[in-house]
Amino acid sequence: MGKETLKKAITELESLSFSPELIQDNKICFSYNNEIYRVRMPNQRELMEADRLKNEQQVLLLKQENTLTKKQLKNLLKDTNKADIDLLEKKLEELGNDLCEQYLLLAKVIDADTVTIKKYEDIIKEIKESRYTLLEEISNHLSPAIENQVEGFYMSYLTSVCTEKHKIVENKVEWFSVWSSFDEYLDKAEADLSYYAICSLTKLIMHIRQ
Amino acid sequence: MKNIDYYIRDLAKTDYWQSLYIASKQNNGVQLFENSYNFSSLQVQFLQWLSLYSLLYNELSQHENKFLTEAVINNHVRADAYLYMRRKTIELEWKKHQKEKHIDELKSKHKNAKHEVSEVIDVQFRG
Repeated sequence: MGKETLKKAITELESLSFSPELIQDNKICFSYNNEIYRVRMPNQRELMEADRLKNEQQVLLLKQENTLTKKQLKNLLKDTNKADIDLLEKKLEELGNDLCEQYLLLAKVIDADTVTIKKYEDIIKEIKESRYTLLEEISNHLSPAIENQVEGFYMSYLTSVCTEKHKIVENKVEWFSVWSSFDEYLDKAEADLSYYAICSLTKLIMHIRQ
Repeated sequence: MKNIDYYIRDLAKTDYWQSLYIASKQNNGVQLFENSYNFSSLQVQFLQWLSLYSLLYNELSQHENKFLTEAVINNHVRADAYLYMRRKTIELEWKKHQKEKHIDELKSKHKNAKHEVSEVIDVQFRG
């Protein structure tokens, strides 16, 4: 995932714009290539099937050679001096705290003090950039971990099941599944469309869990 | 490069959309969009900013906080900073309120326990 895509995903997920009361019937709409799509919450049967496939995938990966759990991968990265993920995560937390502090300082600056306003704005921008870079680094290092692969697989499966496309049929709005099966999703899904759909479904699931 | 959120916020704070937003809340006949349900994520984003800027303009008109000015509302980073400070203040007040409530409850329990003990002593003394 590129830096800009990651930035967009983080902004989307962290965005204040997620207003729970405005989500109708547990669905989120989005547009892509001038077409309207939506993701809906999976039902119990779909969730059970997703869990079953996820477990299968996890066992498969555990049996495979050269696969590592997150903990093993973290240790390997540290032992080979590639990266200290715990340290990077600590840095990320510190940057988050720093950002909050700078916001509080900026909030109390009067309009006339333009120099101080500019100073804090620049610091905030710099901290945000550093956070994106760190997040990208952590995400890249940990992406081969079994847990991350399995989670990605789980979300991909649910996305393939829960993404629908808007169509007008005889003056009525109808919604159709975009992909008839998970295999079709894996074979034919456009990368950008699947990215938007996964992002929306993640938001929806996060909202339900809150 | 400015992202879509930047433009949505700019649009949401304009007098035109703020007036429409207030009118739509007061009068059911005024509708913001063609659709009234199944909002797209952009519409949800826009509604969220409409409501936040409406809140900020309302606080500005009532001079609720000396740090909130029109210049703050017009600057995204400063508006974010103000909103963060506002949330922190509310959280602190809520914690303070909870602490005071807890102290009052403890005081009340202590008072009741004292009352019960004095009643027991009184009964024993009279007995």
